[in-house]
Amino acid sequence: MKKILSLALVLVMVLTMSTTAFAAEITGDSGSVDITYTYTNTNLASYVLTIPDSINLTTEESELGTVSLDITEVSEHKQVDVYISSPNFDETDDYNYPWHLLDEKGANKVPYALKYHVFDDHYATVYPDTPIFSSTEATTYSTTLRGNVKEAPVYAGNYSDTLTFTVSVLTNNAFWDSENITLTEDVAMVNDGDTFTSNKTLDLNGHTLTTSRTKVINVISGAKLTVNDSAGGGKVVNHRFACQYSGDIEINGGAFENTADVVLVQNNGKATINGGTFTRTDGAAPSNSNNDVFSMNTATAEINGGTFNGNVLVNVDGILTINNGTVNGYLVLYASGASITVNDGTFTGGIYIRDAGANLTINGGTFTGGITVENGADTSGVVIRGGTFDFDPSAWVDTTTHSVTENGNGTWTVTAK
Amino acid sequence: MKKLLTLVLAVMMLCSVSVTAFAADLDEGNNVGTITVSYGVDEGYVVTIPADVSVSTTGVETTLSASSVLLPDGKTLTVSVASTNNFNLEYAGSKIPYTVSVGETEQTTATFTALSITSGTTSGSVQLTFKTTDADIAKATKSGNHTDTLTFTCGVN
Repeated sequence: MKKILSLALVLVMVLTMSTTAFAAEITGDSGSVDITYTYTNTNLASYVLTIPDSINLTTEESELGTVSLDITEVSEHKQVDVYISSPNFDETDDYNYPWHLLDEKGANKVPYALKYHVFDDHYATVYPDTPIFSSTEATTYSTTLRGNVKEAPVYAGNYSDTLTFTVSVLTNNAFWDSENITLTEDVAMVNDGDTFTSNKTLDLNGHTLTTSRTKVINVISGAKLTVNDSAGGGKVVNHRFACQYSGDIEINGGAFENTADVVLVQNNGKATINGGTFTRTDGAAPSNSNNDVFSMNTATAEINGGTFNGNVLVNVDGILTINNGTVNGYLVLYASGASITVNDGTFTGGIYIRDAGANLTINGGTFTGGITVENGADTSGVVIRGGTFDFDPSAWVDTTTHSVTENGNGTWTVTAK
Repeated sequence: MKKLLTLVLAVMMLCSVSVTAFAADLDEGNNVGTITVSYGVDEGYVVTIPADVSVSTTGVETTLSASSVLLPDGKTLTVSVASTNNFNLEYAGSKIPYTVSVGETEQTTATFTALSITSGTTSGSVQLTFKTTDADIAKATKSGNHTDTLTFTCGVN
């Protein structure tokens, strides 16, 4: 006789907010159902933000005006953030006065401080990438701005800056609450990082998951994050996946773009890359360091496919096996104890060994760019048993068991005898 | 006793107090708004000139100075000096020639630039030396108090 478990009924209630189909019919004493959340990026928020008309500064710190926000509605998984920005923001010279006025010529800058009231008599410096206010629910908010120019300039004239107030309504980290998530449209996320301690599967389904600057997703405590792109054309922008403390990540598809490495595996984390494209977008020139899209230490990882438009870097005690894929950056052995085994794949950026005690075994694949050694390292840990190279690999081949054939086109092939 | 007349030609720094208005509302249909932050520094300077000089054959040193100078970027404050009697002390038709030196340089024209300060510099000074000679004094045809008037003119260009 068919039994319907109470568990299934509970799940029916939980899932009323999503469009989900699942099996609730159990033929034994127990059963399981798939929990799926289909993300729909509809309904945002209703709000009114009131800002000052203008601000006139003096050398003495003073109140500059009030910013008021009245939020009457916020949709599920949404967060209302208020940002203040300026193209002249630059904290390089003085982080206490990171905002700048310019004269009519745009040639002379006058630093100024811009702060907002936090609590009691405490004011915090306004930073363009940090909201002065955030809320996930209907509320009212008001803060007073204060500021002053650092010192009077040596040139007479009129100095000005343009402040831009932006209210962004973004998806917050509750987006990740479900175990299985399928995007049905593009999703813009808040920047705040997140930590997963339970399994998650994200299907990009041809859509884009983005945020404005690098957002760190920590996968820890045995949790596994799986990223698929069932429809193709999906993209993840400005996310960094840090798998550590037994955290696990599996990427099967999608285009990943970030200004830093996309995947970091460390502290006994694990990664399996079966597909996807990984690209650095910080505009840095190709380099044998600081340009990695995949990096690891004290962890294991396997790359079975995918395209890496940046370095694949293995640091101390990282063990990486590459069975296929394309690396259009350096393949980097960064420290002692790093180990890379390459069975196949295409490597166009060259190999860089930075430290002694690193091991590289090449059983196959196509390599261009040679082997670069620095920092007192050597190539004693390099063993080549197969593959095609645009340099003569004989120095690393045991010629008693393998042959090196010069192909006549600038390449050499290593094969077993 | 030498008197110094402090001629305050201009010095103003107008830094208006904050003015706040609440008119620009943003909402879900208009989520971005801009405002202007401004700070104004008016042009200004203080030039101090000597009021009276009694010329002697050993030379009388005085100072021409400028302070609190605030100029637009690329501009220069100049202080020029002009002699009413073409560098002659006069009394009832009697003349005693004298010279004026800016630093070590004796001026040879009736009008000359004594001090220049470029934008970005807030102060400056020069030494003016007034001097006559026994030979020039011997050119006087009448006894009496021989005088000349120097006009100091400030300009920003």
